[in-house]
Amino acid sequence: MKNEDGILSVDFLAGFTIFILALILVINFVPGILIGINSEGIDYDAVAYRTAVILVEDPGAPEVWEQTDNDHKDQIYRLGLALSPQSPGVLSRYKISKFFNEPAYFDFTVDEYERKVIFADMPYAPYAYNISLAIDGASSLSKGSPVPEYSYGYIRRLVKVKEGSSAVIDMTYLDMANPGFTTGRMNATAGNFTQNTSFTVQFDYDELIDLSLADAYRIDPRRDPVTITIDNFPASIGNTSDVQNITFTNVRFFKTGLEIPMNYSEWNNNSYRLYDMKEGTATWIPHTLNDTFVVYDIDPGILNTSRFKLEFNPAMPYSGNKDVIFGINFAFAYNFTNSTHAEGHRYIEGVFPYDYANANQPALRPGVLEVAIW
Amino acid sequence: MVRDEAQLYTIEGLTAGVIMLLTAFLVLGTTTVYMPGDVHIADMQLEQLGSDALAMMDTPDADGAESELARYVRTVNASGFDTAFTGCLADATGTTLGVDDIQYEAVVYHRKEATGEIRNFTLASSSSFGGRDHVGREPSVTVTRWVFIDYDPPAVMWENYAGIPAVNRPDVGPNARKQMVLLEVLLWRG
Repeated sequence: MKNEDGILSVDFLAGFTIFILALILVINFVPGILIGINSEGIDYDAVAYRTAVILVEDPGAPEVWEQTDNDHKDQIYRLGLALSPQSPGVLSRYKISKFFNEPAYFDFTVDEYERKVIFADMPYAPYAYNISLAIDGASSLSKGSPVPEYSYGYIRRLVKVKEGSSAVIDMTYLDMANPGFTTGRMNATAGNFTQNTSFTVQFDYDELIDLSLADAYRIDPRRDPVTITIDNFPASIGNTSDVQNITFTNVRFFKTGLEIPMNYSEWNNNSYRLYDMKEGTATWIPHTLNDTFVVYDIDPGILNTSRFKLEFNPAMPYSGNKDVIFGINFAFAYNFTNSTHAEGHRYIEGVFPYDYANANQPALRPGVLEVAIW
Repeated sequence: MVRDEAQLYTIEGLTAGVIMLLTAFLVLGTTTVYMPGDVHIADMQLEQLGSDALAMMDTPDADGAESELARYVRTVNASGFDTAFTGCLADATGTTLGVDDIQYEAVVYHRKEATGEIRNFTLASSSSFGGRDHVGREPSVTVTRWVFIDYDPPAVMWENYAGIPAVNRPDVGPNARKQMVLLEVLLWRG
């Protein structure tokens, strides 16, 4: 007769089922051991490091992206702050200003920072960020969201910052030996008369763009801001009773001796800015290059100009051509009184060479950059 | 013939399964798994910071000038190196709340002209300026930098070498010369 007894008892099946269920649950816990790799937070530190490398060691793409106008900022593919590929760790102050939008210009959106610096344009890897930079102990510049208290990737990089060059023409030293800069003399003439004069600040690009100097120490009008300050202007006036008034006439640009035809009436704050400051004040007053204004008057009720300042943003005109000698002509009209002096009437004229002897290339300033990603 | 006697009753089987589950959950839930990758990230950050500090100290202020780092090494100026180096390590923008307590020991390796031997001396260490010694258990990183000592008389060479044991002293006198020396800095937190 056929044996119909079962082999497995019901108890066995029940127990085996419970065992298998327990085993399945335990096996499901195993991938949790690798939670450090599987979670989306594992690459925060890597992204922070990569972002810092792009900012500190890469000049960006294009290399002079900071000179792009706001209408074409879509042509900027990568935002780097380094001066050049040959100077990692040395940042350009002008690039820093444009990156952090101080003063306001590009005003990159969050999306633009993500695509051009963080490279977080993947939908499954959205990153929040905070990029901050402090230069020489000053309050830090910052872009992005406030950093959370924990669970963020982080990197800190130490940098040097190259500032723009400047020249201060101090009129107090007018009578001292000052190469290329003289005071004019003319014989006294009866009656009031006006003397038109000018002096020129000259840029010999071939001399300035000296490739034997490292980028960090070169006065480079192609990349760095240039500032010309005429200080203590009243000290240039010899006998104050000799002059009725002095009028600032205009500023003109010259390329190797020829005046450059352009619209001098427009206040171009993207390329250059002209200011003057009155005695007893600390406010710079903006002007166009065609503005005519009184800088000195014998009438004590009229405020005289103490200083002028002309700022150039890179690139200076024609600085891409090393053969060019670029001149900035400051024109004045001196209205002399009806008086005679043995030393003659005094006015300024001549050429001031903006070179390594006369201009000041500031020392590199220490800075620290921090990137936080979460 | 298979015996139909069960070895575990159902209730015991259920209990055994629950115990296995609880055990596995407790074990895996309480263990902190410290992946090697996490350690490398902390090491990388410290190494990058130390490397940047040496690079920035070795960047002259003007073209052709002696760098701050070269000057400290040339004159064996421990306090100057300590002030500058710890200042770099402590520099921050203030946007994060992290607190670092980084210790260091800086050693200079140089070659003796007469014998060709490589000798070394300790330039500075944080323990000499209120910090702590490295007792060996703290995870540490090493950063190095070649420093060019541009000995140009009458500049003083190895000005404060008297504190260095005679056998490890760098070449002074007629053997003093321009040379590259290796600065090795051990960094650790704690």
